[in-house]
Amino acid sequence: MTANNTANGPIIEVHDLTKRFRRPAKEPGLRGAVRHLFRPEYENITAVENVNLSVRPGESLAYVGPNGAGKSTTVKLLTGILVPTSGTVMVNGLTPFEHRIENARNIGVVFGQRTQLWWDIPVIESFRLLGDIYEITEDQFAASFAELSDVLDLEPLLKVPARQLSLGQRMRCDLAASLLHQPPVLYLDEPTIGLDVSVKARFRQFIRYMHRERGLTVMLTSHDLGDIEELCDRMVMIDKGKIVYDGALNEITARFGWERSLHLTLTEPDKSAVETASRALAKRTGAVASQPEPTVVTVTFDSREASPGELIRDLATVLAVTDIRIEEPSAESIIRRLYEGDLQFETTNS
Amino acid sequence: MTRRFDPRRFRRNARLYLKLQLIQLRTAVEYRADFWIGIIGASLMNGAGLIFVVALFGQIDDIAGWSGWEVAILYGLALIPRGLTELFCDGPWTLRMMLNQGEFDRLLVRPTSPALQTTTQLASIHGVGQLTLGGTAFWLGVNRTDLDWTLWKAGFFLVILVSSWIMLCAINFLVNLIGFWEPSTQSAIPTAYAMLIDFAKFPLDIYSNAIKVLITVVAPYAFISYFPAIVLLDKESSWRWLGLASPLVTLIVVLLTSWLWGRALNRYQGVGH
Repeated sequence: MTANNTANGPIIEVHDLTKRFRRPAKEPGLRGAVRHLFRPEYENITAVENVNLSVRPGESLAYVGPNGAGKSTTVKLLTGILVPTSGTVMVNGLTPFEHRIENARNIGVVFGQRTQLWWDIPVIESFRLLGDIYEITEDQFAASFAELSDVLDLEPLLKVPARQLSLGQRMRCDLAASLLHQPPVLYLDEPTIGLDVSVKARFRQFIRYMHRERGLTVMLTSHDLGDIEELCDRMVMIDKGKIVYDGALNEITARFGWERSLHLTLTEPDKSAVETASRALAKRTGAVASQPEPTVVTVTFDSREASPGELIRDLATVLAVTDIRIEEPSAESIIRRLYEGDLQFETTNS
Repeated sequence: MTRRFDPRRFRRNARLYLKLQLIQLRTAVEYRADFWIGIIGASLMNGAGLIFVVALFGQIDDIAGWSGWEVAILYGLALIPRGLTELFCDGPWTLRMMLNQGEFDRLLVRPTSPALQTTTQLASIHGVGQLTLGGTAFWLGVNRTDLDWTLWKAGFFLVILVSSWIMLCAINFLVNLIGFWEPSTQSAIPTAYAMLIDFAKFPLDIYSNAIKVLITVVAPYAFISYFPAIVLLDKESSWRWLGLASPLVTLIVVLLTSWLWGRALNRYQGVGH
């Protein structure tokens, strides 16, 4: 694997990257369409705003965020598909949109739901065509193909047309297709969507192998926390176009994990339990009571404002409680709640 | 970005084009039912037109000074390049789908020209039908009219064939580029525009001025059949020079298309917003 003139520096470097789209603001229906024809109005949508990112060679990075947060736009900016509105992008010493073709040789891209194989021809022929497109020499092709075919167990699939492959088989072939030209950087966009558990495990195993043994730089966008946990040393989270977290996955609990839950089991069903609890917690800011079951009251609270002990003291005197459980936040629950918009990001510096 | 002509790159791209297009042609042939239906369908469609022509010239000797066999030559001149285009450059018709489904992204992360990749997305096998029918019509027409072949005319014919083919390829791109601006709609404009070629199967003289303008200026199909046929048949016409100018019109269409293609790509990539 070669990395052009970036021996020790970052392999991906992004400065103040911003992408705004201009979208026609049409009113619905024919009238709106006609009006737009004569007096076009547009609205600007900022998909990515002042993103800064630096990825070292051999790093594996998870790029996460809720739908519409700007993940795909960032990947498209990094791969040279889109031209940024402002800011700079350097991948392997090249600006992708200015040197789209040269940049394409340095990267592999896997789009989870789409295949890059030719639908109707045997897989091996797709590989050969890609060899031609990427101008790989015979020797390079043979060496690269032998390794990929071995690790991904492609032998039985080679003569099958892509349309007859199962999703898992196709993913294996697509991975090989994106790495035949031995790029130093691999972008994976939602790679495990629709894959079953065992295929997922195999996929992760392969990426780990390429990452550890071949020093492949991996940038993964995924909603699957398993992918992120198993594959990535680092997680970057984006929301509404801005980066809100950049660090190790398990450290997110330290940053955002101040929200705790207290589960109180009551001795008997009590319809007014929430009211009673709320009254008792009136002076505690950020504490919210709910009653998921007739005999359970759940209180979520901000551990910076009050300790669990204080809350238990408040509540135990007004409610008949038999059992108490304190829920520590997991990275998964935090990410899920961030996604759901339940939890607000603190975009101020930490 | 300025790019100079590089013969090595050109050869490489030509080879790549042949390989990729061969895959599409092979695929088209492999679906056997589709293959035959495509060919029979194309033959029937044009055959119906031909029967009309034959019936028409059974009743009258000529229309606007053109005999039936001369009209056969027009048919041939229109159908042969059309068949070639369907076989070798029908990929642009997949643009709308590629844009809507995000497939176009994949073309931009490969180290080769997006135009080449677009061209090789599809081969329409009914091109074989058009080609056979067009070839037959032209051959019969040439044999039954007093077209005297000279070396010069043979050369002119070949140039026209290539130039017409290139023009139709460019038009395939041109009409489908609309997808970059209006990707979401099912547009009838590309198909309607492409269908105007049917007007080129008859002498221009029989049409109203509006249609004359339509197929010389808006959709310059007259430059692939009518005007060159005037030259080939030594017709008395003040339009003879337009036949000779056909390759020039092709050049204009190609330049216009490549300019628009550049704009379309920029628009897709979001340059200048």
